[in-house]
Amino acid sequence: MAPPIQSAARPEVVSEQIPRRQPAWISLVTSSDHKQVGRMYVATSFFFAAIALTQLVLMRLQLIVPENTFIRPDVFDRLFTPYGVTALLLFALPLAFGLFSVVVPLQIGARGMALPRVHHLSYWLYLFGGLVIYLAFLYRPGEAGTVSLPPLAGEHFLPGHGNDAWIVGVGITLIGFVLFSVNMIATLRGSRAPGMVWRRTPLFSWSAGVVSWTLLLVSPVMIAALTMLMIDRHYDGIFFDPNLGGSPVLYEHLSSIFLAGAYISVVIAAMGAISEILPTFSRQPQFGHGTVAASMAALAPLAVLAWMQNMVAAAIPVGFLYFAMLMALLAAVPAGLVLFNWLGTLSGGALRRGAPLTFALGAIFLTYTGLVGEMVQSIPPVGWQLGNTATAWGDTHAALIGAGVFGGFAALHYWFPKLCGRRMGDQLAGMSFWALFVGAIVMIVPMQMAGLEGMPVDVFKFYEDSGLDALNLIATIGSVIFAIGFLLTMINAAISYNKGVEVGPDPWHGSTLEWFTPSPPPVHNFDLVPDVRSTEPLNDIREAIRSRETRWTPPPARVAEPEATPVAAAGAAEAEDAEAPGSEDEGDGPVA
Amino acid sequence: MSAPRRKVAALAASLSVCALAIAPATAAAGAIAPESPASSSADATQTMYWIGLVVSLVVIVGIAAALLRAVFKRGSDEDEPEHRTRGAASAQRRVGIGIGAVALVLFVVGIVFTERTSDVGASEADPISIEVTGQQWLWRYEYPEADDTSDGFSTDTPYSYYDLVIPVDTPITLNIGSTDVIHRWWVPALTRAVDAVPGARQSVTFTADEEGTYDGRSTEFSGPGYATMRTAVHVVSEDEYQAFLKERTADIKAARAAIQEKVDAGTAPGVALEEAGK
Repeated sequence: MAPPIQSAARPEVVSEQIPRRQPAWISLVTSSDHKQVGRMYVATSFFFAAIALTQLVLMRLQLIVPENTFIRPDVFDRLFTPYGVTALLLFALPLAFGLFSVVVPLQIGARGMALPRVHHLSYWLYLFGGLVIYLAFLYRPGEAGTVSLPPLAGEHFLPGHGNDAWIVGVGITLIGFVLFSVNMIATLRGSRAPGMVWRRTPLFSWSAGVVSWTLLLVSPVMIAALTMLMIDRHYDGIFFDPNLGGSPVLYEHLSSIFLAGAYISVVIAAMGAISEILPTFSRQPQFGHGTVAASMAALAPLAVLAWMQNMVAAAIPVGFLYFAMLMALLAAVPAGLVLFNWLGTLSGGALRRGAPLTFALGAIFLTYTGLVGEMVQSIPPVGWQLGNTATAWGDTHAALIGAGVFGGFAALHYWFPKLCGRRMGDQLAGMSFWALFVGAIVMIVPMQMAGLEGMPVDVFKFYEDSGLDALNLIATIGSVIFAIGFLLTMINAAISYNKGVEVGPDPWHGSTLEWFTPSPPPVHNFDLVPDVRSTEPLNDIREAIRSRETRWTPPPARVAEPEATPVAAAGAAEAEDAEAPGSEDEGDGPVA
Repeated sequence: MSAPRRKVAALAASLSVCALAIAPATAAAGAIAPESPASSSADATQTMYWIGLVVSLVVIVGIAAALLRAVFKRGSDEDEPEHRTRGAASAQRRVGIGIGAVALVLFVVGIVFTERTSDVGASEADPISIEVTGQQWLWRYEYPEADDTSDGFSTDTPYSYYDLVIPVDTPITLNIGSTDVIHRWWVPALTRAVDAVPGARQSVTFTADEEGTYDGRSTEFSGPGYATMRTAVHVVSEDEYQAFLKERTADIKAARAAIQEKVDAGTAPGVALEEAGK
């Protein structure tokens, strides 16, 4: 019917027949396109975030007054047992994965993931792992605490299948993480644009690599621990049974190694996003690109090697604690260097405002507050004073809320145009930020004080005579404000996804390749991928266009007539570049 | 445009500095101070805590101030986005070495204070050895037998639940273990936190140097009753301690005798049930 298209200018996709139109949701769940999988990762992470938030607020409501009877003790344990994995493994890391999925192939100029089907599978493993954890509620839900520490998690103390569901669910999720990591590493190694050597790789993509290597190495440790626990529970294993020669401390080691890796992965992913946002918004290159990259790569192993700082009271020799302390304190060097370079990036430039920048600054403050707290707690006496108290809870939450929520939201606001071609609303973003920030501070600081008054973590009640009434009341109010702020961003994302302001390829005037392609990007990502010659390929292209226009001297024969035109045009181009490109649909992408 | 902003920045910075300068004052009021220590071991722990707190507060305030300054200070030349800086390698090296030096100093200080926490004081006496056993959800303390009540039966060992009574100025060794799951014995005013792990016992020695009652809590999640798993340590004079042991031993003996009497008479609840079962 249709006449053959006569065009030699562009490559075209030839198909024997027009593909059948599918409903949007079918194409979403069956596509192994990295952008579709990334969208599903982001959406699912928000689904689990809603669950984690509900758990957090319910737990805080139980602790609003001393000796409250709002929630029964065993129900409280069923709330907080999945809370840790939900917040960390089902929200914070998958949100990072989702943004990695969408952005990294675009940033490195790839057509897609190296192993698209594996990518797709990793998502479904994550989703079903998460659902299996909550399947526990069909049985007697797991009540063994955040890491399911044996012997409490053994069959003798928790005979129900709820804890099995928890173990299997976390295991499936982690297998998904391993597949994601393998895929991301393969993509980064094999699919970078011509000329994009490692030292020119954008920092967000670099952080994706560091996170993937970290999780690839630590996830199997946890999978092994969970398998051993399962063998203990059902197949007469004695790995963790002290009466038959096993050792519960072994499980503490294995789970701490994993948690240290997962924790620092969230932090490094946020560092990667912040390292993209700050240069864009201060209109400067990263102060020291190489240093930041090297620091992120150094931070991961140091933080993982410091795993024993979580075991200050365990039955291990004090020398191990010194080793953990040394690693944790040395981690301050890369963490501090990253911060130093961010400050250097910020301070020289003419700063532009915007939601991504605001969230990034909040993320820096909260994350580093938490990191400093964790590092100081690695000193054994401080750990004995504060370990497993509400103070430690506060530090962990400061770092993970800072990196996971603020860093995640900064990245979400920044790359939202690449998800759907629209921007998130600024007003809601501002309200959400302040609610989250105030809520986080009001929730965390009283808890840090409560720990010094002797409040342990994970308790379902506190006593009237302990002098903790006011602190807990304030923290509960903070958690409600925080939850409202979180909901505002979820609403903002849901509305903006279909109704936000449409933007062009490059709403922020970015300098990396993802801004080279339309928003949202076509299935094949790029019509052509430019050669990369620096860490800022887009600025190179802008520069090339500008210099071509300004330096072009007309041939002598035509001197008389058109001389004025190119100069004026170049002048206009320069003026346009110099002004703050805050207006969103200016879209002055370098699609020359 | 930039002058008022700078004023706001300066105001915000000075306010936050003031707010944090109040921190030591409130600390005196006890807001950020742990329970005051009652042993040289806890002294060392808390001194290290204060050092850590001051270092981290300084770092956090520094970060906040630097961020505010970077955000509110306008670039010297707003119309020149082309103005580019590259991080000089020497600056990076200096910052890295500086942070590393602070970290290493903190590491050494940390080791010094960790070693000090095992200081048991000047007393030359042999430490009193007390068995501490955690179980869901209580603490059981078994004292060494008092000399004059010894009749050769280990079952006469005085014991107590929840409340530990120890003499002042005497080295105490706690052998901490568990019969079921992992617990953590934590009385911050006296000594370090110790995990009670089933299958092995961990020891900790300290000397309480001030009479009084010190609260402790279990800080390792152990099941539904975990929040109720508290303990209290009563540090008393040597005489009171001996009196306590005698009283405990007498009480335990009396209770056992009373039960035996009932068993012999066939009126003990268990016996009655058994007979009813027949």
